[in-house]
Amino acid sequence: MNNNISDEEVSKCNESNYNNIDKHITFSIDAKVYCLSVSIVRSIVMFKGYTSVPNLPSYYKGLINLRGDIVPIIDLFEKMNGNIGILNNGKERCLIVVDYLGDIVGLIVDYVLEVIDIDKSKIVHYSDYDMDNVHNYITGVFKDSEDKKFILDYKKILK
Amino acid sequence: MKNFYNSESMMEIFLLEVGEQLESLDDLLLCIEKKDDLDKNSSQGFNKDDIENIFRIMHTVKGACAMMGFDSMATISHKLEDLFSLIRSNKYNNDRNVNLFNILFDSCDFLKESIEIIKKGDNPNTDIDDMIMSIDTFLEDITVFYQDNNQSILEEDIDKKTLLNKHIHDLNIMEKPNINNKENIPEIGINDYSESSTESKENISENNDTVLNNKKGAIRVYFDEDSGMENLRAFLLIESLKDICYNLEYYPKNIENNPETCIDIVKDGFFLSFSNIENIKIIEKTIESSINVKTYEVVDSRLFDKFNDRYNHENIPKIPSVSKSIVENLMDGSLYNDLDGDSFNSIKNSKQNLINVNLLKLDKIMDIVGEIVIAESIISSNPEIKSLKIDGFTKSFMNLRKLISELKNDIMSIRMVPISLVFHKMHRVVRDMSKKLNKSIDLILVGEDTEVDKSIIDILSDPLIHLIRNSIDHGIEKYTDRIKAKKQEKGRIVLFSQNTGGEIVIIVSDDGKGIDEKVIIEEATKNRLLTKPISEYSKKEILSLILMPGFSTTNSVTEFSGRGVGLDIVNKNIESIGGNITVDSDIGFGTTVIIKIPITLAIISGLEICIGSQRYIIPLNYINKSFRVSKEDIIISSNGDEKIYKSNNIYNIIRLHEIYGIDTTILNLVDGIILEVEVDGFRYCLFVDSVSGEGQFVVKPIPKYLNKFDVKKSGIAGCTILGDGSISLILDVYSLFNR
Repeated sequence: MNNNISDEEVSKCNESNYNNIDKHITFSIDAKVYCLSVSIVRSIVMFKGYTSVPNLPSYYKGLINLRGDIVPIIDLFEKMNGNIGILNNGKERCLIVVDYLGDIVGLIVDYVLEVIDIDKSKIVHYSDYDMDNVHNYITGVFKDSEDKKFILDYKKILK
Repeated sequence: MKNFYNSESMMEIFLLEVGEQLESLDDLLLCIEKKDDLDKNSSQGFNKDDIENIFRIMHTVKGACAMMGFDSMATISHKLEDLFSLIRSNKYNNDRNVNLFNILFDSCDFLKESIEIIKKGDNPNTDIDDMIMSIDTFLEDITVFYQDNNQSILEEDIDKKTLLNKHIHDLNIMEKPNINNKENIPEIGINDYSESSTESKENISENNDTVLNNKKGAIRVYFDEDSGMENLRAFLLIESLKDICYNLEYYPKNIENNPETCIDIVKDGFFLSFSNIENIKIIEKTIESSINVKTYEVVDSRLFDKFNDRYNHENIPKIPSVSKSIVENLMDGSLYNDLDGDSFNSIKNSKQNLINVNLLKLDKIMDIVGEIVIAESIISSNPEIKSLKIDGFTKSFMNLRKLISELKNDIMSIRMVPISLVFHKMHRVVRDMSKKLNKSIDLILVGEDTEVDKSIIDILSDPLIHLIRNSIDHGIEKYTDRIKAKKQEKGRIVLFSQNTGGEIVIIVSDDGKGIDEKVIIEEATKNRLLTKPISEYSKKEILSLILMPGFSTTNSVTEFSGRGVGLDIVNKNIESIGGNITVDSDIGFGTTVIIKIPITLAIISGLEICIGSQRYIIPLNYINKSFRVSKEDIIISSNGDEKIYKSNNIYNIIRLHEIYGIDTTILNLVDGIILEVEVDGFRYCLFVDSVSGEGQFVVKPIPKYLNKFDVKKSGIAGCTILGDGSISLILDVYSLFNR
């Protein structure tokens, strides 16, 4: 055993690592990469047809049938950008199905990329200097080698 | 009470069985009491069948409770049994019925409560002295009464009963009911009867002896030490062996009625004898697998005879009476029918065909069937398969399809239960309340066969009890007041339910004094419940104030109501399942509470319509007809509203594509289809692109997550998954119009 580092320090180190690393799923919308904590993700499915429901805000696309469950779906792009919904039409898109406090909701995204570990301490938080609407739903930016990745505030989106 | 907790399945069966028995006892008692009230003059308080039924139930309950070690419950049911043996034995005077019924209901409640406690995993209340006291006092009371009467009646009846039991037992052993004999039971004298029955028994055993050449097997069984209730354990063993043993006999004989036989069983073991010695292996296995059996040995049948002879010499007058309910199960329907009458037979039969299933399992099956349906439609719509054109395949696929749709329909109907399950409980509520408050009330049930989802049934019970209590306590006037108001002496509460296609409507209405709006306003001002000036409140709004928390107009808190929580809880309960309550009242004429609950899971027949690329379902029972219009039928009023003039009526028209903002190419009324719909007697027309079919649809609720957007108010009652896996919205014709 190396005496230079006390046990206490080791455990502290481990603990902080353990606490700080959070698995996130990354996906892209409109060529930007976003991250969402895997803790709420239930499954990822290809987005096909949906049934629209009248009198809902436009970012609520409608309902889909997910193995017998009826799941409302939200277009993340529209939700974050207001009503400026010009999205890659015709392209096949993905649906991240999340379980938020027992409610199952589908989030429409362009591509699902990968699952990554994010060290919380490396997240640069958007604090108070909100510039446009997008930032309302983003808690911060995580920057690894080259990409900027936006961390989604899912509570705000799903509330 | 030692080791039953490890036998979990037995516990489950016990709870289920006893619970059911108590339910039916409750029903039975209410029924009898009502009958009793109706013809006060006729001396017949209980008829023979009723007593037999109650006796049978009490007996089963007692046996089961004792078996599971719940002594307090067993004691109470034993007392009740005593009570009924007395009632049965003398021409019971129904002057005392009020007392009797109170005791019966109290005891029944105690047993039910105990069951609930046991369900939670606790031990039932053992503090039963008061109850036993009251039963004993009553017993003494009627015993004195009975002694004034002819004593012989008692003996005669008890003997008859014992003999009846014996006879059933004999028949059972014979496995060949002798119809003639049985029909004679009620009429023939005791002596004749006992002779004939012993005779027949002797005949049988003689026959058997000759046929089987005295080949008998015998087994001696020992039970676990301190398992307790050896007689009942032996009895259970007998029950399990009944099907596989011929001419089953056992010693000690009257194990079921005589707990003293325990001592014998512990000392000498429990003897069994049977004639089909060739099956001994199977029998041994059954004995081995029975609980609490410690050891057993095959013994010489002569040993059995020896013990049996001893028993015969002792000449105990009691004859083994096998628990009737089990005998009934074993006997074929016709025999049973003759014994207890048609109606009871059918009840019993229907009970036998029921099993309890966990709801989650049903949900799972339901989901799987949904998947199968979708998978099927994916296969059938596959273009490659379509192009194959193989006769054999098409045929078998059609067959598969048919089977799947049958399966689907059956599964969907499983979850639905008739609302009568809740409604019938209300009889009891009314009965208790009317006794306590001294108001005489009729409860009328309408539409009890309405089927609703099981989950709704569970939630409905409490709100209905609250509402009915309110009706009785506040609504229905005292006897004298009713006469003054020139109403019928008897109050009347109507409980009504109907499936209107989109909703279940439940109405609780009474013909009491109604609700005084002024009183409500006064009370509401006192409690600061008003949110706007009084003058702005409509009648409906005022009445709905009584549903608010903290509202109570009764000055004194009674056992039943007045705490100001009742209606508030009713409201919350109903809202939790997505329903709503409205109150209507006319002073002097009564109050009506209307509960509307969306059908969360129900099957409706509906018409599938298309608007643009969207498909919707409209419940068929709202639709009067569908038709096309010509230009001449369309009227455009001065303010630009479109109307349709058809068969001497003018209809308003709603363009669905407009209100839902759907892109469609069909904009001209002439090109599309007009549906005439009717809600609450009011008719209007819907304009849709086309009608694409008719079918059965499973109604699923719109996800809770969307509740904040008031989807319901925009005319959507729910949604359904279509055969191809896509979702279609079900329209609510009523709210569509009142948008």
